[in-house]
This record gives sequence, C-alpha cells and structure tokens, in this order.
Amino acid sequence: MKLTNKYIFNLIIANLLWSFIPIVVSGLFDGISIITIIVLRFLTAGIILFLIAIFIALVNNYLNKDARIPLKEYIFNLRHKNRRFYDIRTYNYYFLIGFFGIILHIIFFFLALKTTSIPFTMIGALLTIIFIVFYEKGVNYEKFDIFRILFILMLSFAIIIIISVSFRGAQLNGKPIEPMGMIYLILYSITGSFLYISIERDSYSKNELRNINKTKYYKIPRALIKLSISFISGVIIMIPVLFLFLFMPFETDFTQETVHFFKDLLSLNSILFRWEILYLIIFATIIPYLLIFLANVNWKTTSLTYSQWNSILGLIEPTSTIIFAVLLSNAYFPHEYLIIVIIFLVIAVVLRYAHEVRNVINAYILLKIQKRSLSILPIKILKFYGIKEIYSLIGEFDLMVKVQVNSFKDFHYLINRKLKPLDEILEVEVQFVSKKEKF
Amino acid sequence: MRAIILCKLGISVINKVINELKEIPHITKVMSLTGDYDLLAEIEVESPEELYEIFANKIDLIEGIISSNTHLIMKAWEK
Repeated sequence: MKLTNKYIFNLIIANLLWSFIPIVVSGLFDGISIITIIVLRFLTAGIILFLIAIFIALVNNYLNKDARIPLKEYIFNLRHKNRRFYDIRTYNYYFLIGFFGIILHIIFFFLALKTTSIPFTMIGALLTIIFIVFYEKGVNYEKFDIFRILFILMLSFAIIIIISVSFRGAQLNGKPIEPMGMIYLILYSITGSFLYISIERDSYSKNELRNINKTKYYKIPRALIKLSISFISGVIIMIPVLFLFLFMPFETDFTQETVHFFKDLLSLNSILFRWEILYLIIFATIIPYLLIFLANVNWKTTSLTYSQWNSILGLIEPTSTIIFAVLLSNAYFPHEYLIIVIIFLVIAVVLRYAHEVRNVINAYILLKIQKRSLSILPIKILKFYGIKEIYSLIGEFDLMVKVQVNSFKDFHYLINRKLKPLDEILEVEVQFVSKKEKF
Repeated sequence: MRAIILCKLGISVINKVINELKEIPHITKVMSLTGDYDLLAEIEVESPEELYEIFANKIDLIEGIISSNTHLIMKAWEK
C-alpha cells in the first residue's frame, strides 16, 4: 500500500515521544511536587510556543509580502463566539481546555502514576478511548458496527489483563495499588475525554477564514497560540485552586503536593534545568505539538481526515508506554502477557481503522446561488462543520462544496439546518462519493 | 486552470470509463458518485485550447459517457 500522506509519521512520532513521559516523570516524584513539574512544563512550554508562533508569523510576513499574517487577528479572534462549543467566547473556550482538559488531566495522570504503576495508569488512556466511543455513540449517533464492538472488546480484554498483572505485580513488589489511585485514574480518563472531545470543537471566524485562504501558514501560529493560552491560563487558574486546598480542614494528596510545591519554589531554577523537566518541555510538549499542528495544517484530504487518523494512532501512546516501562524501567509485566496485550491493542488499531474507513461520508454539493452573493457566501458557509473546500464554478452550477463528515446526522444538519435555510442558496444538489479512484 | 467534469454514464461501463479517464495525464481526480451524475473528474490544463484538445480527442471519444457537464473553477476556498 502506498502511503499517500507522510504527515501520518508526525502523529506516530508525537505519540512515541509522549509515551516516554511516565518513565521520565516517575524519576521526579521522590523529590519534586507534581505541581512544580506541571507549572514548569506548561508555563515554560506555553511561553516558548507563544514566541515560536510570533516568530513563524513574522518570518511569513517577511518572506511572503503578499500573504501577510495580521497578528492582531489572533487577538481579535479571542472574542469570537465559538459556535461549535456552546457559543462561548474563544478565550473562555481556551481557559476551559487549559484548566480542565490539560492541567487537571495531567495532575490526575501524575497522581495516578504516583499511587499505582505505569502499566496500571495506562488503563486510564484506554478508558478515555472507550468513554469517547460512547460519547460519539450518544451525541453523534455514530453507529456501533461490528468493528466498533470488537474494538471495545479488544480494549476491555487488554484492560482486564493489565489490571490482573498490575495487582499481581503490586503484591510481589510490596507496593500496593492505592484505592485513591483508581479514583485518580477515573478522573484522568474523564478529563482526558473532555480534552479530546473539546479540542476538536474549535471554530474559525469569517476574518480568520479569509486569512487562511490568503496563507495556509495562518493556521500554525493560531494553533500554537491556542495551546499556549490554554497552558498558561490553566496554570494561572490552578494556583488559587491550590490555595483553597491549603485552607480545607482535611488533608488530601493535593494539600501535600501544594505544600511541597511552595517549598520547591526556592529551588525552581535548579529543578528547571534537570534533564527530566527539559525532556518534558522540549520533547514531550513543544516538539510533539509542533509535529501534530504541522500535520494538521498540511493534511491532504485522503480517504480519512486528520482527526480520524489521530484517533486511530492514539492507541500507540498507551501501547508503547507499557512496552518502554517494561524494557526501560523494569515495570512488572510478564512478557507473555505483554505480548497478548500488544496483540489486542494492535488488533484494536486495525479495527478502529476499518470502522473509520466505513464511517466517512464524502459528498459534493452543487449549488445555484443568488446574484450578488458570490463574494460573501463562500466564506459564510466555509465555517460550517463538515465543509472542507469550496469551488466557485462557471457552468450550470455556481459553487461546488466538498463535504466530509462522520455521520448522516452531521450531514443532515449541514444540508437541512445550515445550507437550505440560507436565502442566497437557490438550489442544492447532493452527489455522494461512492468511490475515489487512486492514481 | 482547473475544471470539473460531471458525467452521466450508460449501464455497466463505469469501470471502463474510469480506466480510460485515468489514462489521460491531465485528469487529476476521478470519483464515482451516487446522485444525478455517475462520475466526477477533475482536469488540470494550461489553456482553454488544451481543454478543447483533450475533450475533442480523448474524453469525447470514450464510449459509455452519455453526457457531460463541465464547470471551470474560478477560485477555491479551503479551511
């Protein structure tokens, strides 16, 4: 099979880089508070990503004088209402992702790592995928075909094996899996599901769509600024929340971590330059996010979308984390069970691929439009979910709209709720793509 | 310049027509459709003359295409 999109490798490399995180941070838990790790990782990475975004925009403006990126647009966009996320302003959307999706998610991830073991924590990543599958079933009416049912079964088998092996390992090591660890694991999965569901629900304003059509490089600084604001705001919101824990009458793991964090503040400089922290900032945050944004921006619409490939390859991270934990940090996991878990997860990846291929709806919509609407209508409809490209035509039809969605519910919504009510559209003709020929 | 050719085909000729269209180097995309049209092809040419040449000497000669409806692309938007 000829791989038509080399950016798939970006997603694979990013997932592999992330899979070293548990091994790297486990070495830090003895002396450093998890809050310190999080503050240093996300504050530093947030600032660096912001500077990279500005640098990319300035370089583009220097090299492409005709397709300049208006930097102030990134600021104006923060007030744009996100139609795909409860109509809240974009800055509130970034804050929510930053605090609940990133900071809380990583806090629970680190707490689960600290109180259980690396393989056991990976159950959280698998649970996240299962939660998202059920969310898609409930909200998008995505059908449960045989591939999806088998996919959940494979993940469940892998989870059962990891649970039994982890409990046996805990018994042998004399380091029991704490009950709180399981609660952290569930919270890690819930916040993770929130992150994966909400981060895809971004929407562009009309001005932004105009800029994207002037230069495709507009999207990279935008994505970096989105992430950097989410990181920095998440950390800023976390600090007062930590103070609340300090004044609570009962003691929790958060209280201990917060007290420890304030002690760490005195030696923040030396902690920042530890190789583990530098790995987290550079190789587990900046580089992977640059890789995935580059892939997202340059994604050629092949048979599957970027987000579909992202969800298929998302299983690489937990799988390789368990493998690396066994090989590099001697986590307890008998090799025969490890091979069975890997086989289950590889089958799950294949099943997910089969499901996604069967569940993509490609269509072309041919439109006849009112006179005098050609200059405004394309940008107006380009922001609708599912619309990938629009061609302005000379011929019987005026516009041809390329659509790619995952369910007929989304397709129905686009045609009947978004396009047909528009006065500027006189006639809609749908042509479903039954097969794309390969060249 | 790019153009979209929407074709209506006769019965049992779709594979033959697709193969013949794929042999034309200027055709960059071919898709089978369900709807009023059976096939969509995208063609990239340098000039209207070249488009005419390909139509007159290649596409028009393919047996099985009952009718075609060609649209020139003036501008494309993407996100």
